[in-house]
Parts: sequence; C-alpha cells; structure tokens
Amino acid sequence: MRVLIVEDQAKLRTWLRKGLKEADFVVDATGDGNEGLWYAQNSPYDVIILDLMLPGLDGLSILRRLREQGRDDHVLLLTAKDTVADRVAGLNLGADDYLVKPFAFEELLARIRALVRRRYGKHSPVIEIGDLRIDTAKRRVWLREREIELRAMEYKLLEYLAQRAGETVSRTEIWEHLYDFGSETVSNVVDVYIGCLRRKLDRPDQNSLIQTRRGLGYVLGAES
Amino acid sequence: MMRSLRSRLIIGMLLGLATLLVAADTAIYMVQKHQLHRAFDETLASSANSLALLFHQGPWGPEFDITRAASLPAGQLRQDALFQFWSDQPIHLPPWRQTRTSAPREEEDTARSGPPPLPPDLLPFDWDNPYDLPPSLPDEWEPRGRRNTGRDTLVVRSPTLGEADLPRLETTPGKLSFARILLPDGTPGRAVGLRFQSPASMGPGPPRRIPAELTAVVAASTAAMDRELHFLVLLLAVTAIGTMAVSAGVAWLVVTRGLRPLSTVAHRIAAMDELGLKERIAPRDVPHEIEPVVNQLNGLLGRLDEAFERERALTADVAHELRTPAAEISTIAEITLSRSRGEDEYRQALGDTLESARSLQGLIEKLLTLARLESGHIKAQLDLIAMKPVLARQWSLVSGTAEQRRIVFDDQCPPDLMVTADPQLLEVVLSNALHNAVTYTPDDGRITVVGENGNSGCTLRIINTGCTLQKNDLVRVFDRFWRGDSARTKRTSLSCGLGLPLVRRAMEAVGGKADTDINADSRFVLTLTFGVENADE
Repeated sequence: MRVLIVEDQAKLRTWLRKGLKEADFVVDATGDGNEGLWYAQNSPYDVIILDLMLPGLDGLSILRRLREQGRDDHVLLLTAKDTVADRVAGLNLGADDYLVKPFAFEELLARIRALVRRRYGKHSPVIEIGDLRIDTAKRRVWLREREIELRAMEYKLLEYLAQRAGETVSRTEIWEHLYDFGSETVSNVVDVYIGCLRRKLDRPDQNSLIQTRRGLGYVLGAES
Repeated sequence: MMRSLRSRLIIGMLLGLATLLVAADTAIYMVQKHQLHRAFDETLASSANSLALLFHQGPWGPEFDITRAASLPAGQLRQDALFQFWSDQPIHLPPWRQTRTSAPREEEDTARSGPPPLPPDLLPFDWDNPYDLPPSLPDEWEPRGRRNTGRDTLVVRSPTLGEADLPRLETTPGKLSFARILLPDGTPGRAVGLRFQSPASMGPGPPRRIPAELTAVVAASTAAMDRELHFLVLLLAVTAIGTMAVSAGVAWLVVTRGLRPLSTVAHRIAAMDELGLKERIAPRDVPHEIEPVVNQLNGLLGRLDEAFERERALTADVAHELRTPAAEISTIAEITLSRSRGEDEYRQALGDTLESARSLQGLIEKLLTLARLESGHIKAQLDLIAMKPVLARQWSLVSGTAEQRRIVFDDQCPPDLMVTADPQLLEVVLSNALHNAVTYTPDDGRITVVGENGNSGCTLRIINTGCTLQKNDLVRVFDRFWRGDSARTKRTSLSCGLGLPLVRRAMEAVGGKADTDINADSRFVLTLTFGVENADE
C-alpha cells in the first residue's frame, strides 16, 4: 500500500516515513505544499497524509485541488489545529479522516489501514480468498490454517492483490504500489515477486492462486 | 458612598424647592405682617387723633367729652380701643362730675327724661346744663389731680379698662410712638402714645391761661391680628408641605421615567458576558445625555472584543506551536521503541528528540519572556552599555548557521556606540533580531548592521537582503506567530514567529522602539531606536 506524507516538520516527516516503511507501507514524503500536490497528481496513493500549515501551498488547498480534479484518494489530515471549525473545514473539503498532533503512531497506523480497507471496499482487516487468509493488521498470512512466512516485498504484493481480489491488476499498478519515487525501474521485478509468491502459495496439483492474464496483468482468486 | 442618581436628583430638586418655598413664604409672611401692623397702627393713630380732638379746656381743666367718643364712627375710632389720658395740670371737678366716672345707677336712668338713654358703659352727660356750676367752689372740692402731681393727673380712661391702667409710653410732642404692650387683662396688645396741648377754654368759668399738656395712650389687643398671622403661617406651612409632597411624587415619577434608559442600558450590559462582546448598544436608543457614555462603552466593548479575539487566536497559536515539537518527540520515541534497533538508530532518535525538546524549551522560554514583558513583570535596569561587544557576542551564536549558508555579516557599528538599555534585555533584542535576520536572509545574502549616535538617542539598523515581504505585510511583522508566508516560510525549524514581537517588547521596556521597513532593493530594515538616558528618569 502506498502512502504520501506531506509534512513540513523535517524530523517528524523522516520518522513517520521510517515508521510507515517498517509497517510495510510504500512511502513518499515531502515538506512542500506544491511538491506534495505534484506527487499526489502523478502517483496513485492509497492514503495521503496532509499537514495543514505548509510552505508553498497549504494542506486544505492541496485537498481542494485534488477534489476539484476528481481525485478520490483517501486523505488523512494530520495537524496541530484542533478546533471544531478546523476539523469541519477539513472534512467538508473532502478529507476522509482527521488526526490532531501530538498523536500515537499506533493510532495513525490503524487509521491508515482503515482508510486502505475503505478504499478497497473492505470492512474486516482479515481477507479470505479460498484457503488463503490474510490479516492486514498483523501482517500475517495463513494458507489452509498454516502460517506462511513472507518477505516484506512478497507480503506487500500479496496484500495489494488480495485487496483487489477478483480484479485484473496491471504490472504498472503493482509496481506503483510496491515502490516509491526514489526506486530504480527494473522491468521484470513484478514478475519475479509473482514467481516467489506462487512458489510459496501454490501446490503442484492445483491451479495457481495468482493467475496471469496475458497482456493485462495478474488476478488473485479468479473463478476460473 | 455615591448614592443612586435618582435619590440625588430627587433630593437636590426637593432641597431647591424647599429653599424656594421657605424664601417665598417668609416674604409673604413678612409683607403680610408688615401690612397688618401698619393698618393696625393706622387705626390706632386715627383713634388717638380722633380721641384727642374730643378734648377741650374746661373751667376746671381739660375736659373730655366721652359721650361723643361713643358716637365716633368705626373708621375714626377702633371699637376695641382702650385709652387713657393724663394731664400735667391738676383738674378740679365738682363732686357730681367726679361721680360720673362710674357707671350710672338704674334708677337714675329711669327717673331721667329727655335725651335717649346712653349705653351703660358710657358716662351720661348733662347736655342741658353742661356747666352747672355753683357760684363758688365748695371746700369739699378736691383738686382731682392733687394726689398726682405733674403729668400724672388722670383725665379719662376708657370705661372697659375699669380701674386698670395702661402703661405710660415715652412720648415727644407732636409725634406718635408705637409699642408692644401687655394689656391689663394679660393679652398682648399694641399701643400708641401721643402728647398734645388741650385747646384753650371756650366756655364759662375761670379761664385757664396755660393750656394743659395731655399725654394719651391708646391701645388695642393684637390677638385678632396674631390669630390672623398664625393662620397665615399655618396656611403657608400646610401649602408648602403639600407642595413638597406632591413635588416629591412628581419628581420621583419624572426621574424614574427619565432614568429608565439608563437601567435598560444597565440590564443589557449586565446580560453581556465575554461571548456577547460582539453586541453593541445603539446610541439612537438612548437619550442624548448618555449617548457619550454609550459611545465610550461601545468603544470599550470593541477593544475588549479585539483583545479577547487576539487572546483566543494566541491561545490557539500557542497550542499549535507547542504541539508540533511535542508530536515530534512522542512520534520519534514511539517509532524507535516499536522494534529493537542498532546503536546508530538510537543515537539518531535521541539526537532528534533532544533537538525537538530544545526547540520546545526555547519556545516556552520566549513565550514566558514575552508574557512577562507584556505584563510589565520585567523591570528594566537601565544602564549605559557599549553596543559593539554585545553585538559581537550575539553574532557569534548565529554565525555558524550564517556561515553554512554563506551569509556575509557586515558589522558597521561604531566602536564607541553607547546605548541606554537593560543588559539582559539588550541581549534578548540582539539575539532575536540577528536570529530573525539570519532566518530570513537567503543563502549567499548579506546582513549589515549600522549604528548611529543621534541627538535624540542612538539607533541601530539591522539590514538583511532578499526580503520577500510586501510593504503592507510590515504592520503584521510584530504580531506573535506571524510568519511571512501564509502557510509557512521555507525555514520553519529556525523561526517560531516570536522573534520580532520579543524585540519590540524588549525595546519598549528599555524606553526605546523598534520599526521595520523594506528598501527599494528588497532589503528588510529593522531599526532599533534607544532612548536618551535622562529622558528615562
């Protein structure tokens, strides 16, 4: 899941980024309002974390422009402004959540995960597809009641596919949700991780859980 | 201490009215009394004159025709007049005349025929033989005034006096003298005294060569007049008290009605709290007299409202500014503790936490200093201080940052510049001014400090290049937490928006002032004007 942090306090930004990465999120971060808008317009983010007071362009203006352009990214406002008027103004402009500084990082994580679930129309943190069970809160995966150890990248890929279970997901989409802006483009990296996942999840006598749609991408849990 | 306006007005009005009534009533009483007394005295004088005209010089001395007195009209003789006449000559009267001073007996009256009977209290007089004299004076004739020598010979007195005497008054011939006396029956009265000469003898008998000098006292009771005056006093008092009572009622009504707008205003003010400061009292709803008060009150409400708004905004700003470093500290700690890490990571986390804690601490210190300066808790200890060393010391604290960003420091402060200031507050001023300059000067910029010894005090100008503010932003640069960019400036970690407010407050505390300007070539100029020492005393 890919998250954008637009926060002007450098230390807070750095540590949030670190914390979110450790929680298996793909994170972009910037301290400038205009840059933040550019990021948001040029990449599909599952959740955008916006500070209100920013140099260049303030958080509410970024939110307004995104909504004017028809973008429905899930936005969480993270600010030290705590009055009812501030919250109402933010939520009325189309923010999905509001968190006042100082906050507990655990709470921020929980709210981001909730926003991700909402984005993919899920209510439960546990996704079950056939014999496969993924707990997105604990980041653990079970197949036929047996827990499977996955590497961070494998988990991110599986979770994304699981969130969009039944849909065909293109390589570009997968790539955009696995890597942040600083990453080098490697053409077959998605295929490599798909291969790794198949080895861990599939049994030789059955069809693969992750099916390839030639020329389109991959789909998890397709009824074939 | 101060009574209600209503009672003050009513009491004032009633006191004024009472004074007026007392003065008017006293005047009325005095005029009335004077007129009554004059009329009374006139009747007394007229009575005295009329009675005096009834004297003639008889053969045995002055004689008084008392029967004519009885027939005098009321206009000439008061009906209640008491009179008594004395002569300076002895009077000889034959015994039959002497007896006639007493009331006549009944049988004597009935036996008589001819003239109609006189009232019993008047002496009958023998009109047929007024001078019924014997050929010679018999021996038994006693000179009537023998016992009384000189003027004390009683000639006649009004029959109602009986045997009582009227007091003798000091008199001068031809002049009337009035006096208050006590009448023989004990009632107060008024008397007139006069002295005159009896006319020369007209009738038969031995003529008197020397005319008799007569002294008269005519008196009358003033009881009726006093009653009239007492009644007048009573009438005046009753009307005055009535007037006062009615006036008090009317005044109470009028004043209450007149003051009603005040109580309306008071109720509206009483209903206001700090949330109702937006309300104003419309001046057209109140009388002209209290319009200035209402206008001033509205002005005060406006200023209070602004102050409250500022305080609210400030509280929100303070909370916001304190939360940011607090959020950093807690987030860094929470993320760091979420798993075990290497030593470098812990070092990094602790370093960042320390930095945030220091920024929090600095913010709190600045807020406290500003609050103390604004509340006047910091008392400036003014002294003459050399500027140059302080400037050098404060620059050394920010020179590291300045060098990193290749900012040139051009110190043109003359070495002999002495300013009147408090040493600690001067440190605050220069520290914040230089910090502000370094924060807002772009990389490769220049900061110039110019000092000047003027007649009206010393000035220090701190000029930095690359100012992005507009002229109309200058009014806000001394506002707390205001920063150039509406969102935030580029170097937020260095500025907290309290530097220039602190500079201004500290300058005011040392009797100086701080002004800002922007030059044509985008140079931001902070001018610090220090007061002259003797001007501070």
